[in-house]
Amino acid sequence: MNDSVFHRLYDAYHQDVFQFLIYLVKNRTLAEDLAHEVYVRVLRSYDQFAGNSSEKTWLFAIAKNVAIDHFRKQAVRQKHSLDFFDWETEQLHSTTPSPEDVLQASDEFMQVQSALEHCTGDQKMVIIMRYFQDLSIAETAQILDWTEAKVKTTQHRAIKFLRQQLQQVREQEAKWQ
Amino acid sequence: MAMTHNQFDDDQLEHLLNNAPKLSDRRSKEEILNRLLTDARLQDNAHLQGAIQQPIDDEITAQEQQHGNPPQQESTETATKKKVHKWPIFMSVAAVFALTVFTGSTLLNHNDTKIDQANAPETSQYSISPDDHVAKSSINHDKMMESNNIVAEHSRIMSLRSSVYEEDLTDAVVFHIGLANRDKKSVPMTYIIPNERVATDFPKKKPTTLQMYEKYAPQIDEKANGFTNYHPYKGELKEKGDKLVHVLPKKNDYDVASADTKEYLDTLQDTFSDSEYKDVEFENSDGTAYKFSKDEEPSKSMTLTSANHFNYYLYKDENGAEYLSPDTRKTFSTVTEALTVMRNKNDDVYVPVVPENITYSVKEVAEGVIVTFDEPLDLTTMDTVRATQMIEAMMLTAASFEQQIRLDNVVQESWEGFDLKNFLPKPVGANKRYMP
Repeated sequence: MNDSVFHRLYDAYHQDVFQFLIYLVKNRTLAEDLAHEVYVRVLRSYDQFAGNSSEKTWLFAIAKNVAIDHFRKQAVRQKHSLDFFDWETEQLHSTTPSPEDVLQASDEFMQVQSALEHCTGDQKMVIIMRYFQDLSIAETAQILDWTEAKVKTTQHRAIKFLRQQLQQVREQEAKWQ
Repeated sequence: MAMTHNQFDDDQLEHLLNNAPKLSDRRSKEEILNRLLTDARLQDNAHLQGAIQQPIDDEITAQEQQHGNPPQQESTETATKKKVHKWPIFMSVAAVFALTVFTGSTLLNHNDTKIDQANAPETSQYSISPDDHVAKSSINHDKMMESNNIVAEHSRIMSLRSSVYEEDLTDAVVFHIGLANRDKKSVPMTYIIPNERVATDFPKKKPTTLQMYEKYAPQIDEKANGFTNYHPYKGELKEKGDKLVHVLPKKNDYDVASADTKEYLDTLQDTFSDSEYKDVEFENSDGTAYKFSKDEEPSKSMTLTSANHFNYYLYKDENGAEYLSPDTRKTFSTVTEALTVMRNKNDDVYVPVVPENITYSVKEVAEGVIVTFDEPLDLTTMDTVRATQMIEAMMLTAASFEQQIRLDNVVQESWEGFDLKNFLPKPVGANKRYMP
């Protein structure tokens, strides 16, 4: 068995990190680019990993930073009127998913994904971490460098917002039927 | 809360969220590792070397096992499969090394490849003919080249560096220009233009800086990038020996208020100071010296080559774009002084890139200037963009004095491809852009 950093992290977490990234950016090629960037940063800074957190939360924290850097650059490129990209309050607009990824999702889940696009960046991140990645509140708090209370509040607000959004969609659909 | 028949409740939502489709990466581990191997930022990375060492060790173990046991059909087949599987990784390492140290053609030489294989220990026991190896190496090299292009493009997009360095100019030249921002300040921009394009645009001979300006300045969409439509300058620009002459229209926007004149002169400095012209003269259409309204006397020429030594700060445009730019054009006589005060905030337009809590000392030595942080500086504790801006602003400040800089007492040995153990390269210019 190969116990090098790359092989160990790949075997344990690659698919989780990739899924986290692809749900954030909704573009397979871009998620592949960002996953590469995550490894670059991990391999370059592994010696500085102090072990204050688990490797898993450290890896996800790097993935989160890579994704935020991407959205920040995208915001600058698209000339949004932002003095500074604040991912906690801004929406993280991702591109449309590739057709093969769409096929895997139910209509209802597509509506969830669409509603997620209207959440703030921190709400989207928390939903992906807590539900899609199955990370605990403690792990999510560590990755985002928040208190557990903030994670719970953000999750609560996100769920409320998503429910309202989806309810509106249902009501619209009912009108047309 | 009472639910109507169609109401979307939390349970339904949680069910949907908990059953999100699993999206997986379809690439193989080897593919991902190969791409990492071609990334220049990981060229000497020990952990990556560790990742490729193990498969090679596995092969040696397999070979040793074969020596100890009579050759069996099954074990040979297993080893063969393993060899086929591992070959691309080995080739990648070789290719990375070759691309770094030699020209690619050295590796491409099939005869060399054959010799290497002949000299390589124990490869003959595998059931792959030398011709197979050659074919595979060729295919893999093609893949490598393709992969290198992808990685280079990816690195270009993902890199947080904002300045232009010599390494960006292997097949390109730079075009400097000062663009006028919303705050009536000049922002020094550095555009990269491929050699091929310049050769096409100027087929007969190397263009002068003025010819470059006349050709490329109109191609920059200043307004779309958040700048004022400023270029090309109104009036006529012409060369007179080693001078540049600007014949100004009687009525012009450069001489309305003193801030306009300063903006104009700064854009001229940012556009032409790194050129063959020593001075710029300002003339009326009749050839007499132009008199700026702020002055009592007709203007004298402005020196372009006198080195103005600045320190660099951050300018944030309201559209979100960020630039490293000289702070209020304040000049310094020593690099130590310029670097030391980089934490100070002097006005509302330019933001210091060095956080207030980071303290350091500056020492000038023969090779350049050394900044030593008082406390070990862990760049990962900073926002990655801010950390990179701080490093590059210090590099640009040192470069303004024709100096290279070294940063001591930084926890990381490298950052964004900068080797922090040694003196850093002198940037060619700030605010990299590619000519549209």
